[in-house]
Amino acid sequence: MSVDWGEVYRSSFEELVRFLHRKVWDLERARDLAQEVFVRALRHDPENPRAWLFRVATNLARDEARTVLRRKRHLALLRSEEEEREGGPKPDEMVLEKEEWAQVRGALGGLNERDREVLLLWDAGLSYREIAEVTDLAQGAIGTTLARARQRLVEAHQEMERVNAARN
Amino acid sequence: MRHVTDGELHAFLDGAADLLPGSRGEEVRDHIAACPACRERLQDEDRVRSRATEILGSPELGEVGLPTFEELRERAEASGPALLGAGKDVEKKPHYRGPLKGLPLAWAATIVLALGVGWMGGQVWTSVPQTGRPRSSSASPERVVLPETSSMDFAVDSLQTAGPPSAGVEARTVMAPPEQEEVANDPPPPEPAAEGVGQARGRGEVQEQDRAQARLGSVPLALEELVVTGATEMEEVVSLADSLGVDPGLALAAREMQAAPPVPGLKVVSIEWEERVPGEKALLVRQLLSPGDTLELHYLGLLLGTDPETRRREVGEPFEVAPGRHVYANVLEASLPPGWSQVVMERGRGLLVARAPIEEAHLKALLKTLH
Repeated sequence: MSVDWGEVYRSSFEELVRFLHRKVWDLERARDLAQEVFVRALRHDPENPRAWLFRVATNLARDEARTVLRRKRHLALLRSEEEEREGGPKPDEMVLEKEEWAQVRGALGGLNERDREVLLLWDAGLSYREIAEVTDLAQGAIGTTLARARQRLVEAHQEMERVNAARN
Repeated sequence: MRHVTDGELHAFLDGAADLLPGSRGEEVRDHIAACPACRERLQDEDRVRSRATEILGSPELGEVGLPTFEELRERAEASGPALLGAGKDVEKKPHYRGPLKGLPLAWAATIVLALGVGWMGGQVWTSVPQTGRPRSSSASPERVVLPETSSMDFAVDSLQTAGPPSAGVEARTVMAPPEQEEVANDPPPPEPAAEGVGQARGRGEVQEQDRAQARLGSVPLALEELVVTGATEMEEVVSLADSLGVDPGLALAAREMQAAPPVPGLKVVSIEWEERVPGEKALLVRQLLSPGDTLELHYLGLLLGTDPETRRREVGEPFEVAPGRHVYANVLEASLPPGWSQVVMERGRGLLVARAPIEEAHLKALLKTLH
């Protein structure tokens, strides 16, 4: 059966960017990676496009996340201690949006990799069947994984809000 | 009929009850309809589900900025032979994970042990002049085999730019390829380190590989961001570090160093590690001497030691060029900025190369306080 890639693109690209953004936390990179995933998909023409797209995106993001994280830390490192003391950005100077992202990121960081993966795939709009295909989990295990992941996400987010409120 | 589990409730809420094994989906529906306790739990879980969805949806990403489909298609066609119409997924390929495959905890533990107690072995002081060239005869020649001049080309190239941050020059380091738990469905990006394993390679090929790796750039990591907070057990640190994209071994080492800096009293500014050839780990720790000045501590032969034979035994395959040479050359041959000293010590199975913008005698004195 031939895949209508134009339709797959229209229905999946934004979700793919969103999924990747929750992994690399850089919209520009997420967009680039999503394009890269689609370019590969167009070349390989897989039979089950959505599961394939997200599986490849997962693998690309895994490498990318480390690289980007380290680059950012490198930049942070270049600031001398004095600079940090004098003029470094403080939490209360961060824009609200970044704070919110930081909270989501922190909360997701409290999940184990498998739970986070399943949760993000669900959030990206994949069905249980597709999530099972991407993660190699049994379909019957997806609900259990999601239940645990959602619970932990909510708890971790609550905790971060509490800590932030105390700090401010 | 047994009560419904949380997982089944979530499957029900997600409209996926039919995917539960056997006729369980139907049983779940019937049970929820008949059991007030499970209906109440369903409401609780629905709240959790809604809240989780809300958290993940905030804030909105904003304008994503879509390229047109035609643009992507053109890129796909331009990037290589089109496979459109093949109708098959790319065959899964095993992802090279190096000689440490399946042993992230093992090597992480090795680092921690090495930093903690393993480096307490015999020490041999060997200092080098400030030109940066080591006195090879004094650098424990039975263990440290410096490359022949002809094989040093790549190292000399890369070392022209090597140096401490305070000298305004970026040290070149290469992070090891990330561990992959799953096999990519798409061919993974070429990994130079993987290509050489299992093959007899010429020196030129090895050098080309190292040149390629050396281009990857510097990746020092701020200690504060490396230390995984909130985790008490090693496995927890590893898991959290991995989820944050931090190398677990590095996170563990960072945690150890935060508690006990190599030179007591000097703040650890950053740590990084490199793997120029598979399995040969080197760790670089920077400690703050004074504003703008750092003490560099290069731990070489961290995992497998300096003996090429050890390396061969671990990997089970011979290398024509001893991997340790490259790692060592990179550090030992690095040019020192004016006013810097370098001291080389044997530590455990490897070497410690210390560099700092102070006199050699002072550096040695400083290193006597090493943990």
